[in-house]
Amino acid sequence: MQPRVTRESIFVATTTKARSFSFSSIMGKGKKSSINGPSTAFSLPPPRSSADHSLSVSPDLIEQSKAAILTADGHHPGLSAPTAAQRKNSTAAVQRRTYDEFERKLEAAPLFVLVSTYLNYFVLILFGHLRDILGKVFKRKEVMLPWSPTLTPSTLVACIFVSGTSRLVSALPFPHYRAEHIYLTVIVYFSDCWNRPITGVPSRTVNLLERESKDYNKTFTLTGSTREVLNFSSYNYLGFAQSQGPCADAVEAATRKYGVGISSPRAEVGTLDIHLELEQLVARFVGKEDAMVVSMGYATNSTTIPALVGKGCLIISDENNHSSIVFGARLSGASIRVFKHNNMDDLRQLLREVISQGQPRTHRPWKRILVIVEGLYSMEGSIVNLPEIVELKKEFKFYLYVDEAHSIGALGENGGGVCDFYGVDPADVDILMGTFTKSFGAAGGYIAGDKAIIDHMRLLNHAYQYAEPMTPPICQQVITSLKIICGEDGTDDGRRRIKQLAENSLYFAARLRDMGFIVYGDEGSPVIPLLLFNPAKIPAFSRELLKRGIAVVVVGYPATPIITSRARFCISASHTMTDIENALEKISEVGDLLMLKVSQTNGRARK
Amino acid sequence: MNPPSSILPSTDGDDLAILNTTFVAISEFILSIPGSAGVLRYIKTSYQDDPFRVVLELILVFFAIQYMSAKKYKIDDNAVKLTSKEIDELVTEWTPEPLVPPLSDQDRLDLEKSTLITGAQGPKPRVGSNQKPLLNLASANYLGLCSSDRIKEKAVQTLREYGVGSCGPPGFYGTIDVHMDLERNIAQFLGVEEAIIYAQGFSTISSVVPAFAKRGDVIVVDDGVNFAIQKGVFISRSNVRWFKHNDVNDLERVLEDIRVEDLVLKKRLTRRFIVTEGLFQNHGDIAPLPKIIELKRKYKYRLILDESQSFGVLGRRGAGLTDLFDIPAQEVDMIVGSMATSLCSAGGFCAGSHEIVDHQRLSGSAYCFSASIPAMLAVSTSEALAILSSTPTLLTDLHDRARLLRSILAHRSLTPLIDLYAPEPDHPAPFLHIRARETFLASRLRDGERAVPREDEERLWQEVVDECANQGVMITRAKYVVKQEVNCPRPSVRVCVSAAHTRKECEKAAGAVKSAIVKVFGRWRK
Amino acid sequence: MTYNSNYTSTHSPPSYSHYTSQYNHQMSSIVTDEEHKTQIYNQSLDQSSMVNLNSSWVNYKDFQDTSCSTAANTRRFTGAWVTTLFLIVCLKMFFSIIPGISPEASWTLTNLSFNFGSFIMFHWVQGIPFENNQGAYDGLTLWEQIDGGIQFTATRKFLTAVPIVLFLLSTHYTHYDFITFGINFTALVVVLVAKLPLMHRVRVFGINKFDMD
Repeated sequence: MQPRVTRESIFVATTTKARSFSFSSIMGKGKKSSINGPSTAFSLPPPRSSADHSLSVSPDLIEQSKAAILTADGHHPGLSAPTAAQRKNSTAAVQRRTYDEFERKLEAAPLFVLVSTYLNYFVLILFGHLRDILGKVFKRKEVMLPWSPTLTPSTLVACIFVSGTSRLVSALPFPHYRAEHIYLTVIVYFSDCWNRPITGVPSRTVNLLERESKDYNKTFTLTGSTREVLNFSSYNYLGFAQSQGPCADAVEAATRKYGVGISSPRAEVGTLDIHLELEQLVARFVGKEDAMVVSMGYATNSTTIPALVGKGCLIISDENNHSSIVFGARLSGASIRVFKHNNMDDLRQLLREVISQGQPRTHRPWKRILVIVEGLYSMEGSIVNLPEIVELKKEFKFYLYVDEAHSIGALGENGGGVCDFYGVDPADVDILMGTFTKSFGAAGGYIAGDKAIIDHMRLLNHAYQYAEPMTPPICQQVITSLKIICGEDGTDDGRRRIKQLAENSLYFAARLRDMGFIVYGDEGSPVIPLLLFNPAKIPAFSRELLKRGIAVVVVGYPATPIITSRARFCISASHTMTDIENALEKISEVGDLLMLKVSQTNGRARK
Repeated sequence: MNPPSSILPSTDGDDLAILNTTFVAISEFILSIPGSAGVLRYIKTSYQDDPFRVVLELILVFFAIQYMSAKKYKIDDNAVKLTSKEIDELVTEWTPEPLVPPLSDQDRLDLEKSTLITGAQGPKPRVGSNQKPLLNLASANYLGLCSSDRIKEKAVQTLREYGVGSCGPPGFYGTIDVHMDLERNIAQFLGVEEAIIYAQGFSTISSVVPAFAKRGDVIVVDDGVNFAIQKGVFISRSNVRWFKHNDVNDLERVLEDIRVEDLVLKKRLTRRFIVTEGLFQNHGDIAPLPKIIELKRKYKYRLILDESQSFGVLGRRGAGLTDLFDIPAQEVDMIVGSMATSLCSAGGFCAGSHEIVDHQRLSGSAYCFSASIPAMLAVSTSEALAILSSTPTLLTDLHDRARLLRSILAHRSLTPLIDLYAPEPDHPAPFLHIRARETFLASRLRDGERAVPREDEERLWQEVVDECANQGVMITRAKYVVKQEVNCPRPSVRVCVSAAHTRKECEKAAGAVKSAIVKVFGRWRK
Repeated sequence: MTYNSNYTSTHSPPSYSHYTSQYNHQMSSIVTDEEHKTQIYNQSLDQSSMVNLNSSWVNYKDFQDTSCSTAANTRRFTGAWVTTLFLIVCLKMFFSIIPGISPEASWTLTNLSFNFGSFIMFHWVQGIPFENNQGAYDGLTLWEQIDGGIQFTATRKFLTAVPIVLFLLSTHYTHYDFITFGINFTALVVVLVAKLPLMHRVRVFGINKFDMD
């Protein structure tokens, strides 16, 4: 069957239609770039502070873009035309429509898939319980876990049946019953899908260390051989995971000059000149006054949020926020509320409720409200509805914190993240946070904001005061890759990478949908989750694709809701067209084998 | 006579007739509804001459209807009912505080006086805007590995094989073979079963503690521990008991109290932990490990030992506190350490038995939800461990310098001015804190002051730091997030020695510190 | 210790009766009054910081559907609800297949096994597997976790209606025999009482109580 969506048709679509991945034609920010033509190296404008809103989208540009969108041919698969309700308020309508342009409305699976998934879990749990009870009865060692710190036996259920009272529970030397044990004893059989060891550079292919297990995946031994497979799992969006090239050369020079370690926190004597250079470069890149870097991306969130808010403040976070944000929020002592994922109506409702009610129990007004969202959600592939949040921010006066861990470098025509993607002025966002692990091939994270905020952070951020700083070779990797992305190194390598990534993601997602899979993820997102639903398909998908030479990430509960377990593809600019075609073919094969092509709105169903 | 019925109007018969016709009409109407025959049949059969049961079922149906039509509410909700207009008003009225408060003078001082090093960190870096080379007595470069060429070579080699970043969390293709090697090396070096690597030393202990301790568990902590441990026990939501710093008797008292409570109240068994540091970052003294282990065994607790400062420094081999006291490392349930201090790399580790390490691979949040450490840094750490194992002279040099420093700083001209933590000349710790003596501060009180405020003490030490810099030595004040620390230590200067300095350099540096203190303290508040 | 409590206000003391009723007689002096309040505050904080995936699957729309407009999403009874009904049908068929069983017995057995299974699942098992919020939902059964403790939501209504309808059906098909009626009714009452709002967090006779301190 000929694929209905070919690479050329995507290409044609993106160059001739107004709705192209390069939003400069719509937003008209003045940083025009054409896809096919050569780009000129440009210098970033000096950053503005929050008071200056001159870079916001102006009303005439909004009118122009409205006209452009309305005349465009809207038959791109999956899009819906703007409804009457959305045309009501023109400015808001355009901005909402702007997100709607590439928002994928999440599709529900057909009923039989859902029911079969629930039944599958039911059977799984039942067998887990049964195994536990039988294990206790026959006193098998692996089921009885006397002094293990958290694995608790479910055999208390059996004991209660037998003894009829819960007093037995307190007499036993185990901690109290929890359901974790059932899941763990079952999940251990899947454990060959996770923690797969690799060697070498994780770029478009990765070298897996083969391992085998003689006791049903409880323990593994390395066989000593390696196998090269296509890598759709590493966070290598712009392809900077390289051991050769300008980045690697610069890092080598930096290692020889600076060494590897700095044994002191930044606040004491750990600040080197390379840190200041990096911070200034990051601030300029992101469009803020000042920035601060931390050596670990996770720690950036978990040490900054407690430095910003405390008791008497409120944190409103999206329900799919990353664990580091939740950790930081719980550490801060502030109250926390969650709103439905990317749902602006729910956020508005919640804001009205919390501001009018005040603090719980005392009803005093909140000191500050901090809304934390992510630029690109890595489990859903959805992009935050930033223009509308900024509108809400002006109305409700909260502070906005955007975690661009996945979106910096990967979204936006200049790789500038969600602000660049939407054409929103970075001054409208109070704090932009991001990590260097994904698009820059390094490690660590940064916080960017106004100078006053960053100065305050330098004094209160836990990592700045106590933790080790970013090591110089890593700093150098970020500096060099940033310069490449901006084009400041004089080549158009950065442009090329960004363009390649966008093309690859759009094509891959469109082809998958075409085949009939249920795929989440907004248009242009380099993270593409493919839904598996059934828990038994999780290891099956992973193993089948590994047999065919593709490494993928599969996730289930608890990282995702119970029903919607998924396989997550991370597209990279280093993937060639052959890689992608190859992978699509194999995925289609496995999809047929495992009956994953259940979509009713995509692919074959629509014919 | 007329029958009594004739007294009644003859409409009586009409009434009955009306009633009859109404009934007939209603039943005809009901029967005409489709399906009503079935319902009537159902009601007839279900009646079954058992009114009691029917009543029960009717009650059930009423209950069901009432339940279905109830409105939802939240238990324990004390939300105030507001109209939409009131909500609008409140929303427009509300003004938040600024996101960050304006900087205080102390803050400004801290920011201005932050040290900037141009070029590499090492025993003699170039500091400040004029790039003057100063002797480095401020960084935890105890073994001098920051400037090791061997480590740099190895790192460059690794770069050419593995690239820089690991591009993923350990669960998803981020486990590189060099990580596994490093874990094995650390475990072997310490003498435990297994180890697990985290990407940052600071975040390690604040992930390890919550992975094991939850609500309802009990943690007994020394009250002089560092900030990371404080945050770890806070986020674990367990019941925390503090005991006086390094006071074993107090620890015993606390443990005994807890045991008595358990007996009296028949509580269920929960997990119990004792958390302490090997070499205290804020005080420079060493935990009395043998006694703590004795207590732990007696009361059946688990010991979490944070060896961030002591790993690579204490003991004959440099394996930390267990090496120093010659105790097998399996006695300590979890040894948590940092590879960013004496090993001059980055990251942290947790070492223990197989179950403990395995559990963290699923529940250690900084392990599961964060990218793994870059390959270059892991290899540098392995190399540093190899250097440490093969060059025992590093440790003897380090102890020698420490002794020299202490002997110089114990000079009697300094005694009325400062307190040393820890002062014993043969103390194995390679760093010490210098704090102003209370009597000295009391002698310089201004009128109306009961005690010297913290800012002034900080300023005093900042002057000492500046004066040392003039004399060619770099030291640093110990920095804290004062408002968030539990039991924040008094302002101090932390002086660290390094095996990379020669005896002469160390002597000269210590002398410079001494003269700076004398000078600055002499003229302070005069 | 700087565990500032949020309850040092001047207003009347906050009512958290549902917590104190359970913990009053259990409060030990390991945990002071101040710390106890902080723990309750921390627990509600931890509960509100994330979506409870363990309990959200029982809603009729489990996946995050921000702007449902496709036809599939306008179905009212999807996913978990249909599965419940499907399971009951399967149970009935299973019991009917057994040779020599009367329809009355099979209906009674269906009713009993369904009530028994749902009781274990919703009202016995506590906590969440794979949590990383330090036991914020310890001691809460699945029923108590649904919808964050809000009573009378659509899910709860559905889950209450199902045993009632099943009971009515089974009494009809057992031809109102007194003994089977008694058995069915007892099972129903046990399950219904457990679902009442006033039984929220109540543990009768201390059975299955999770001691938090």
